[in-house]
Amino acid sequence: MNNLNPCESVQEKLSAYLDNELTQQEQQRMHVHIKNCPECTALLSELTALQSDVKGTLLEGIESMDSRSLQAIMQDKPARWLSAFGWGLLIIGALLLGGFFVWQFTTELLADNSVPWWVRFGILGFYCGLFLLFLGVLRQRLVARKTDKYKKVNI
Amino acid sequence: MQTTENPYLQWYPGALALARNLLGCHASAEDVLQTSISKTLGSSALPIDEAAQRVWFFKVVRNGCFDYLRDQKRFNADADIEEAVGFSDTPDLVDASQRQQWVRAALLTLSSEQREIIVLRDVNDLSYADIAHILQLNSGTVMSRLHRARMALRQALLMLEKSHPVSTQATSATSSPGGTHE
Ligand SMILES: [Zn+2]
Repeated sequence: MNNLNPCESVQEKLSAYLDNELTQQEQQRMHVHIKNCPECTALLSELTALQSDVKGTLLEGIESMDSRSLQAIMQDKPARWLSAFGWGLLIIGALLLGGFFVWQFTTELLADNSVPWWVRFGILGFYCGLFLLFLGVLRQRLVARKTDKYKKVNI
Repeated sequence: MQTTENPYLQWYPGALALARNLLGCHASAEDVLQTSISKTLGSSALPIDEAAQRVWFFKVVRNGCFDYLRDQKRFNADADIEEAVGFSDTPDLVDASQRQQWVRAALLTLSSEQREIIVLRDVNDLSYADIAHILQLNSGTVMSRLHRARMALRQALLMLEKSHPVSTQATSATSSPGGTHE
């Protein structure tokens, strides 16, 4: 019965022994005990078998999927560049078009003398306000996205 | 794997195994891995030596998984995940041996915390110090958590084997009538 205590303390460190993570001294002490103890030897060999079983099981079938996935990643890179380029063009186009119409609208409005000046400035202010609000929301979104990415990489 | 110059690709299979075990879904695990790999393409502040690169990569993959789970709002729905890790999503399971099926089933009885540490050590051969870095624990905790996880896995396997004592014999006998197995 006094054999139970050393076994318990050995078995607690059996995983670390198996993984060669103990100090040389501890590793040696464990080795001596295990050599003379069938129970600990049995548990050690069970854990060793379990370790390779887990590895075999979890890597099973990954190899074939792996090469396909790598291909996908490699093809993904130009695709991402293209889509970034596409978005860039789209935004530039939208800004130019928007700018053109805003310019047209304001010059026409300011030149139109049939409407009183304060109505003209009211309409102008209304549209400017809408535009600024839109910019504010856009900026919030962009900042949120950036900090989010930053978090993902650095935590 | 030598055809590409990205050093992170060598850890792809093990990292995919980790993501699968955390997410329980093969397709989303691959998504997370692709995102992680693309981060290694774009980022300029990558570690230089290989050991640090590896720890960094596993951290990125792990965080990617947790972000994914958070997005899916199933952070605590272990039951859902385990259902998915199981048998419906594993097309190649037919080829897996009885022992491998049991190992899979036994892994599902563990908490994802326990599965994670087993995958990091046994599939990826990471040192306790590296695992401590990745999981933000101290080495002593890694040691005891890993051991408890392995003992729990062993226990689960014993229970499974006890509850299906004959089926191994039956399947291996019918699957190889030529008698060339083992
Ligand atoms: Zn003993």
